[in-house]
Amino acid sequence: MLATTTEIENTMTAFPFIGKSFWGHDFEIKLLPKKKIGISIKEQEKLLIWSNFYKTIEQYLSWETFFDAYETYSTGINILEIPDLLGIQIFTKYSFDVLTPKEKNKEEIEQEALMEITAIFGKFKDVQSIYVERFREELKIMILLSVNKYNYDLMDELFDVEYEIRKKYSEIVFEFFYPPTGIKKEKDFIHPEAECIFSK
Amino acid sequence: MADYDIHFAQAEHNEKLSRKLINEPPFHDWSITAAFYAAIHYIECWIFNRKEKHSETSIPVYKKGRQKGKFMYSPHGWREKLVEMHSSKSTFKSLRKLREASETARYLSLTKLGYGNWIPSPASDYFSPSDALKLIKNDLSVLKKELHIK
Repeated sequence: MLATTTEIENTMTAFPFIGKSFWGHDFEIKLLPKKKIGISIKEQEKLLIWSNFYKTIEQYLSWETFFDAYETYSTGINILEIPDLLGIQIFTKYSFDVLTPKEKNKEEIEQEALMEITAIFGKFKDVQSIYVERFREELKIMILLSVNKYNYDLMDELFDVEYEIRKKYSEIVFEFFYPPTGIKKEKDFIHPEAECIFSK
Repeated sequence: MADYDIHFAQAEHNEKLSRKLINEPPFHDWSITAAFYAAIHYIECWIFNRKEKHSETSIPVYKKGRQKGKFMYSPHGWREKLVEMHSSKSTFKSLRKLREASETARYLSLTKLGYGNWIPSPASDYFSPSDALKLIKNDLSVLKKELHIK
């Protein structure tokens, strides 16, 4: 289905819509200056209804386009052109300008980071458990390894993950440690107030 | 506070020791620690040519909140952050590998290794000489190359 420029503009101007339940995020889509369509995430500002957002995606954009845009946003690439289905007059004028997410508070960011740490490090066969100790504003991540000999290649892979986590959550002050240990001796060096976020 | 030449001289000194100790098992575990301290001084050389000049004097402090006025990072943490932000991934990984291995070599509590059983052996058993060699030949060398230390 093709839409006219006016139809698209009217629809997009009618944004922002906020989809509260979409992938756990709040979305706002709005028409930006210079005829760019932006996706940003904000809190309950200018709340309209999810069904309008859904309908507009279905009618004019397609979910595939929207997912591509979101994926593009996730990978940090900011521009995605609208595909041909909107018609030559339209897609030559518009592009997705994907903006930054809403500002999450510190606790939300930390929680998200810890979930990701658990999900990724937990996949390693030799990662036995993960603890978090909090010092001032710092997260001290203790990744306990069930090894009794140093494994250079394992450490290389673990530091790949650590690097990506640090880059992604650059606002968090991290310290990572990888003590080799057996499960029966954790209490020897893990503080009793440390939070266990993963254990096999 | 040391300048570039002093950091460089100390780095070379530490690196020489690390290369010497590789060949003197069972003291090869200390070659890892010497290599880490060589890396620290090579990084200080790199920092000296940046606007920060010295790691110790450029650690950022919290501007607001409960921690206002307090340091955000330890000196090791700040060096790692600078490397993470302004150098390559391989530099970061090399530094992390050296620091982690060095701390394990120094602080390894040997009772931790045996799933509840005591292992009456030192860190020199945990790290093989070839592990130490890799950390020096791969990681210390990568770090120097990536930071353009000559």
